[in-house]
Amino acid sequence: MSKFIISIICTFIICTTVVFSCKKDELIPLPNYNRGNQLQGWSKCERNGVVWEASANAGYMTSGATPDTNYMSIACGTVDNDSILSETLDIRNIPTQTGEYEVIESSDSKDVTSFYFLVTDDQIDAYYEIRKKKTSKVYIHTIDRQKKIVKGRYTLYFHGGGGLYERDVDFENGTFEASIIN
Amino acid sequence: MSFAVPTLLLSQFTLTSLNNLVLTSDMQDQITKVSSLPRKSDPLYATVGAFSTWCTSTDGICLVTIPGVSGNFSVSPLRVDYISETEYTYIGKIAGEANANFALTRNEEGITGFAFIGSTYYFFYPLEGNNVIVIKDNNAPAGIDCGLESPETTESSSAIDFCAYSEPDCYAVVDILLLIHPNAFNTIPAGFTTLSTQVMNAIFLNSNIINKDFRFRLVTLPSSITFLLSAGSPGGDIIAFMNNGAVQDLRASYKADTVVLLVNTTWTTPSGGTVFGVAGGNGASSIFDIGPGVSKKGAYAIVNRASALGVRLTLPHEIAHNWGARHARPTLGDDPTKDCSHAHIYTGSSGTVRPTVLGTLGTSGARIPFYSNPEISFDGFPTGLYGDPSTTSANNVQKIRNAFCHVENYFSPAKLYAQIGGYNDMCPGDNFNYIALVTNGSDLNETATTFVWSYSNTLGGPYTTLSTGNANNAWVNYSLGTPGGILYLRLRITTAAGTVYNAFDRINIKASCIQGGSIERNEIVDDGIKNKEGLYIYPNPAESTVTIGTKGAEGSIYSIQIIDINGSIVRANNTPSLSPLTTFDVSNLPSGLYFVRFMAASGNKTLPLSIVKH
Repeated sequence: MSKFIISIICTFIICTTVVFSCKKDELIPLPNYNRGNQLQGWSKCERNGVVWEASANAGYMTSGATPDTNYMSIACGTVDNDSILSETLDIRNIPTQTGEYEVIESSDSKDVTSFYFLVTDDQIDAYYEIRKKKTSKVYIHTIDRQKKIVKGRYTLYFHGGGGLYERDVDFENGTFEASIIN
Repeated sequence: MSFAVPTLLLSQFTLTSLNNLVLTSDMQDQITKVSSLPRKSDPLYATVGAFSTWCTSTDGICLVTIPGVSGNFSVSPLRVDYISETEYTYIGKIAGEANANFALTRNEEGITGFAFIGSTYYFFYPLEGNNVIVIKDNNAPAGIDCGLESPETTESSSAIDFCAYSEPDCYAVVDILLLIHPNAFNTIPAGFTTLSTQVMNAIFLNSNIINKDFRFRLVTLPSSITFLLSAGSPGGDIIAFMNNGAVQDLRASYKADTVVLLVNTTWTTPSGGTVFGVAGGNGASSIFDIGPGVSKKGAYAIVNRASALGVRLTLPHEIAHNWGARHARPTLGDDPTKDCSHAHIYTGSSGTVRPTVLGTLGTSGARIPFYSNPEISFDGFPTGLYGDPSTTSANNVQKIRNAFCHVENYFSPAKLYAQIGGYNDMCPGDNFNYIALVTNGSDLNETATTFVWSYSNTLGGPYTTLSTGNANNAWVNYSLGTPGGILYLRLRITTAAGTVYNAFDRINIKASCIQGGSIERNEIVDDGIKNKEGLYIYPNPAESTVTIGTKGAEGSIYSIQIIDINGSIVRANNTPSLSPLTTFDVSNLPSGLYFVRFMAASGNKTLPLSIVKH
């Protein structure tokens, strides 16, 4: 009997140890914010398999005193209940011509790169960079320089986070239409 | 050094006349509030009046009147950056003043500037339109000049200081490198560093945070750094900025603590909002590494140059984020238990709502130069002022002040520190010892070569030399016979590379001391110092053992700690009340300056301890 009780206790201890030792860090799912007013443009995709909608705009990159019209960025953002910017998906250094561009991890060069981050007003709380092991791309389909509108698609894979947010974020089947604001 | 004055432009150039300054009741209410707040000891006041200038069109010489100062002052131009009647910078020298400086910059945010007359700074802070607050500041930090240094200079013109970071009252200088994006280069005045210092110090003085100073250095972003701005993504910009290794190399080469990039850009976010600045690597979430192999985190910001020092105060706003301060939240009201609520909107007697420096949502108009709302009290202190450091994180002043004492988080790995260790209260004619200590950073390639000790009755000088050539870690004896008052000591060290660093300390010479027996004075006990609380350290300097006495104070002290220069506790006795004498073995401790902290229910007391190995 005593052996039976001891075996039960040992089994309980082992199982408890296994359960707790195998338990992953509890990561907070990415929050779902509002898409905003979309007055300057829109974007829609699947963020980790769930529909994600945002406001969007585009602009020429600025390296000197004036914008360089050869390169542009696409910024997609959501807002909280007070209409304050809460998420930004930023694709930058995109050549201002139609085509398909691979999006790579940030570097000091003019390579096309991207960031995704959570932001509270003007403070960055968590950010993600392009994941190396998967191929991210942005496609520029049309650029209307008269109306200053750009349209395209994107598939972006990120890794990073901060605090307890989940580490990998995938933006798939993304589309956008954005006004160039500078 | 002089600069060519663009005479042609000056023919169009007339500084704004403020003769017709009319204060609204709300502005007057601000001024009353600023000038009536309780302070520790700083002879600071704020007022307003007819600040006016008249400039001739041929030589740029201006006549200036300043409220609170009698007479007119003739100012000769040293540098004028003129863009338009509403956007210019004028830097000049006031005639008849040995160290006179005058700087004024105007942009769409208003007028910011200062004049240095005699030993007093008059600092002009912008209100709406042409209106200004004039703040008189007798305790302006040393080393301020007109900012005439070359933007690319690496010369140190003001103090780099040391403090024991664990000490809440430690004195420190935050070294901020201002990088200028090319799109802002032509509109950043050379005096911007001085103005930045003055704005920051004014806000800190308002908040009664008097143990910290700032050093701003202006550096043009080199063309080798390929950082780019995007039109609608300030967050993406700062991430690109912080991830740019060349930027961090530049920061490290200047040995700066943190970096702010000034741009002539505002961002329209995808949701249509306008952002004037953004901060990253904040105290609350230090997520950005400074560089490979460096464990410390960085804190950086990008700031629109036009709103940096104007009514928006974006520069102190973003830097406050770097220290962990959070936005005011109107939805939280003024509930002292809610985080950030003490920075909530300020409402004067006129009922007009204004944001504090940390104000944001739902609060428009000029920010008042307070980190927290001075109208709100907590634990008996206005929350716009520093009170008890242990009270609450809801008060941004508390948060900034406490975080500030841990500014080591922002230090670059290479740094040269000059330190003065001394005592607070003395009597006229007392001999006193001061110790100099220079500490090298881990990868510092600088070596201190000369030491110059000097003193002055004002922090801004002029300083009289006491002695020169004292070696590092040496004690220096003085008997000045100085009458009562504050005496400032300056240690100036020069490195082999020619860089100059200053450290400052001040002692209070009590005029009412009775020689030979007053309890108000410190008492020389053998080689140690016994102060009026009965605390003493013997011998000091020590080599193998040190005896720390608590005679007369035993029973109230519950802990004695010896703390090294990094703030680490290297020796401790948590039951000193059992004996008035406690002896510590310090034979294994390296030479250097330490601090002995006496902890009592009534408060803590810290005295310096030197350990010297022969």
